Amino acid sequence: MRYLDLDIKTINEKLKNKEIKPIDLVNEAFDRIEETNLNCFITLNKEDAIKKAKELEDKEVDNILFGLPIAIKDNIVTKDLRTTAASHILEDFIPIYDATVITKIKEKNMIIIGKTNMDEFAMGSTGETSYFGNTLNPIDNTLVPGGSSSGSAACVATGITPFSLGTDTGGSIRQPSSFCGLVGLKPTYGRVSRYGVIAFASSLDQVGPITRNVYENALLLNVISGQDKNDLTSSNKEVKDYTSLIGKDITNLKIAVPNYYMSEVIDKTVREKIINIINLLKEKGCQVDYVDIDYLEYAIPLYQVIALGEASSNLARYDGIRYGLKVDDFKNVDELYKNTRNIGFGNEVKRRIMIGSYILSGENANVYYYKALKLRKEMTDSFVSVLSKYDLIIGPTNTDVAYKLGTKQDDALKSFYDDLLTIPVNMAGLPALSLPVGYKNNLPVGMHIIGNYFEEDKIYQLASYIENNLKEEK
Amino acid sequence: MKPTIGIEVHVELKTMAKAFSLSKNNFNDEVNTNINVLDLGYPGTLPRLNKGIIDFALKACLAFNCKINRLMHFDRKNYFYPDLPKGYQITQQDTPIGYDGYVEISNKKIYLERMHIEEDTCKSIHTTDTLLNFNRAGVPLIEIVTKPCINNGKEAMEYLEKLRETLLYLGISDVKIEEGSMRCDVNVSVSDSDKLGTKCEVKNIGSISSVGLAIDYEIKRQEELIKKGEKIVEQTRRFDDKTKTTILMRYKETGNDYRYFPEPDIPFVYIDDEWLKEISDNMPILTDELKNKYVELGINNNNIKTIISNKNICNFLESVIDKCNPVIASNLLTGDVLSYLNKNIIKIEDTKLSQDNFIKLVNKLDKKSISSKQGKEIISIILENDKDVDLIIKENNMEQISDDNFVIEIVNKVVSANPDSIKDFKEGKDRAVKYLMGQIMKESKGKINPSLANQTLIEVLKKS
Amino acid sequence: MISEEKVKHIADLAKLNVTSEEMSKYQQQLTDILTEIDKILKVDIKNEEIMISPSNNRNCYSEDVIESHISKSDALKNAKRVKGDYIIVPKVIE
Repeated sequence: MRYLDLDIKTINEKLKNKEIKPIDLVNEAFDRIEETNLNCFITLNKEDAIKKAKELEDKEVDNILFGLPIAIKDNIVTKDLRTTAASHILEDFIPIYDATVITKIKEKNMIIIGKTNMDEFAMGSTGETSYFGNTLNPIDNTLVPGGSSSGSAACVATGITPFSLGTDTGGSIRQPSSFCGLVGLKPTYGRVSRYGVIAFASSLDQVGPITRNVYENALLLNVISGQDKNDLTSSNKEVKDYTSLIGKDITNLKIAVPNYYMSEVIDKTVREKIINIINLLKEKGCQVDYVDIDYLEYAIPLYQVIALGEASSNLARYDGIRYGLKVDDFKNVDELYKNTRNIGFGNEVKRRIMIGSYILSGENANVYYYKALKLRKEMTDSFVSVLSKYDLIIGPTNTDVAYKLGTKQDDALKSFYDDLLTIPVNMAGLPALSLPVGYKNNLPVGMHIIGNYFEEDKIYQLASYIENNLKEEK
Repeated sequence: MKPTIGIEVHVELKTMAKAFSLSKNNFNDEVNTNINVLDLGYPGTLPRLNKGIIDFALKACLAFNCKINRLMHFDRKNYFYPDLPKGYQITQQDTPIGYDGYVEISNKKIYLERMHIEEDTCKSIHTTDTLLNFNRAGVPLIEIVTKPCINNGKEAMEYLEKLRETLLYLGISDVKIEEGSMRCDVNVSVSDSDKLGTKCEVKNIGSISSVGLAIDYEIKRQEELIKKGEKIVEQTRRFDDKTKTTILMRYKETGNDYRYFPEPDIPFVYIDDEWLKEISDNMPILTDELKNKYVELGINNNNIKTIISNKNICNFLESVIDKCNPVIASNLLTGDVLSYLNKNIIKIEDTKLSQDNFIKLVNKLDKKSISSKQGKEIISIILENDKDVDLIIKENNMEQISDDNFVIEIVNKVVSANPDSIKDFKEGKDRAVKYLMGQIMKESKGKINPSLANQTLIEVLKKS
Repeated sequence: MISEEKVKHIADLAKLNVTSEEMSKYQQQLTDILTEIDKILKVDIKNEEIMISPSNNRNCYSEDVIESHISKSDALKNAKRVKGDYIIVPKVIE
């Protein structure tokens, strides 16, 4: 029997009564890494994790996450532990500070097992753009695990760690969670500090938890949330106990289903799974209405303008001067720049930088960028207007389930269409969760639950009800 | 032919911390010590915002009569250069903190287009390689841009002097051109029609007088080209101090493509009435107001000029001006005090001079209880050790005698002892008075108040 | 179709090399993206308000006080070309 397969409350009890020690959990995690061969990690933190686990033996088990192993997406900086963002350009980068979320999980004495594989600079939705090779989907090794938080999802799905942190710019937590049958939350923009998160698109990026179930997801959100003086966009809204509404009656929740999320573009079986849930909720007595949300159809071009514009600027700092890849072939500064970046970045990243630079160049910024910022406001307002009448919005997380490795590479447009349903949420900055709600051909289908700003607790309330009342269906 | 000149000035603000990072704002400290992960543009870092830079910029806005963008954001200016760690500079493109201001010079107003906040780059040292000192990366700047409304070098110099003086009195910058805390770029164009001519930029000119020379040279150069029928090509030039000419650096590429866009990492800043009031309530007195006040107090123009151009002296004068005779105080400060400071290359704060003692000295001089010669002796002492003025006078027996009876007594005694001198005086010989004064001073052992004695002597002589 | 010259200009702005083999691919992709994002130009919207970020924060500043610095060794730790206390680059000629 593996202790790590138990639920967190049980593990916590066993730690408290000294039946097990943190080192047992750490050993189980590393054993599982050996057994599985999914390429979940770019860098393992074995020595340090063992040392930390031993140190914890003398400490009081003072919180429910004490001594538990966690995996961290490799675009979150960890002091003295290599952080690459899955890019050749940062292959040997050793951060000299901890991201705020890392400081917070260290304060709870969680143990970092390693840095997980991902799409390079979080640009991709399959895990395949990583300089360190793709991650495999633990359910079927011929499939993509989803991305960009590919390793963080695969690692929890295969039982290496019960927790991981991912980042979500256009769906990078929710989509792999959906493809791997996990619970993944993108919190409200500003709920979790971005300090120490290697920026892809600053106005869209958020860190969030990927876990096996809803309750454990809320536990991790409790730890990583909060205002941070080092992230001026982080919110001073009070951090709630996000588990507090779990188990509470959902009868009074009003739920909206956007027609856009149930259109013909979405796979039929996926839609059926969502309809099952709608029926389940109606049976329970919830009000569920189909609604229209204006401007959702512009989410992808909006994303291309805003995310790639920001990305082209955010990735300008990788020039090989203060850190990063060393090239020796140059005659002047311009060649130093170009050769470093040309060798250091992969194709997808280069393509996105090119697009972003193009969108901001010359008159384009005035034509496209400012129009996009106005349209973004409109789209957000239409979400807000729906959420003034409804507690939550539901629909599928993705258009379909996990697909074969190698099918969507090298297509500038198609790669974005994977995120059709997740991108609008990042645009508006709303919180959203992906919850497993059944299978299509043995592959997990994810349901999207979108909440109002800072109402992650309500998302968990509904998710937990569905989780508990759908079990027999799987 | 009509020349048109616009000036862009970058001024370093002397806040404690940097603009968008809270490391120390002093790039003269030991190399690469005043830095943190933000200044290095490390992955994952996000900007902070130092309120001090907004306060300082608001002061400048008020001093230069700018309108204020109450709701403002920051923008990113994207370009690659080794001295720019993030690959972009945080600046204000859409919403400069100030706009539509003006600076008054003697014959006109110089209109300001905009004033905005931005961050400085690394300091580069060019040897066989280029060495980067990140202490300067992130140092706060304001950029002040005039409209193209300046007509010649003289106006430009006057504008820059006024700008420099005002910024200095605001206490927000050291404004030292030679050290780079104030940097001037000028745009000069000449036109023989109503349309503006093609502009040439002269960058980073090393002093205000060089700005004047550079502009006048550029005007002449461009006029001659136009006369010859040649076309002016847009370009960047630099001023050569040795030859007093401008030299071509490079032709302008077809517009710089800086890909500006709003900085998503710094939320909007809203300057409400309360904030603005707090700034305006705490504005120091600026030079125009000081000059007017000094004229009214009867201080002569030369002294006023000297005082204004020495801010520390001015501060000292301001701290005593209500408690003693301002004319005497200004004479002492611009005379003996300033020459002492210049000789020793120190500031007035570095001396032992205290306000109280200085006021005592001025009052003694004002009441003529000591001579101006004695005043000089005393000031040289109290600059060195702040010894009490009363004590110095007592110890050195310097007290002047101004007692009327005593003065009359001495004068009568000397006059009656020198009847020949009375005769000489009556015959209109000047030396008689001088001689008698000498005898009076001698008789009183130099302690008699000379002007009182002189006055009394002449009365006595006339009556004789 | 976007011109080769334009692609070269963009690559120069982004400090990337575009090889002659990649050129036509980039021309095609940038053109496709432009067609895609042109969609947003056709949307008629009333508001003039721009949304720079979903954050509603305002006036998030710190007082003018100095916070901690990093050590010189940390500052130079990840740099590949260092001379004395400086990070260096090939000579930049003005």
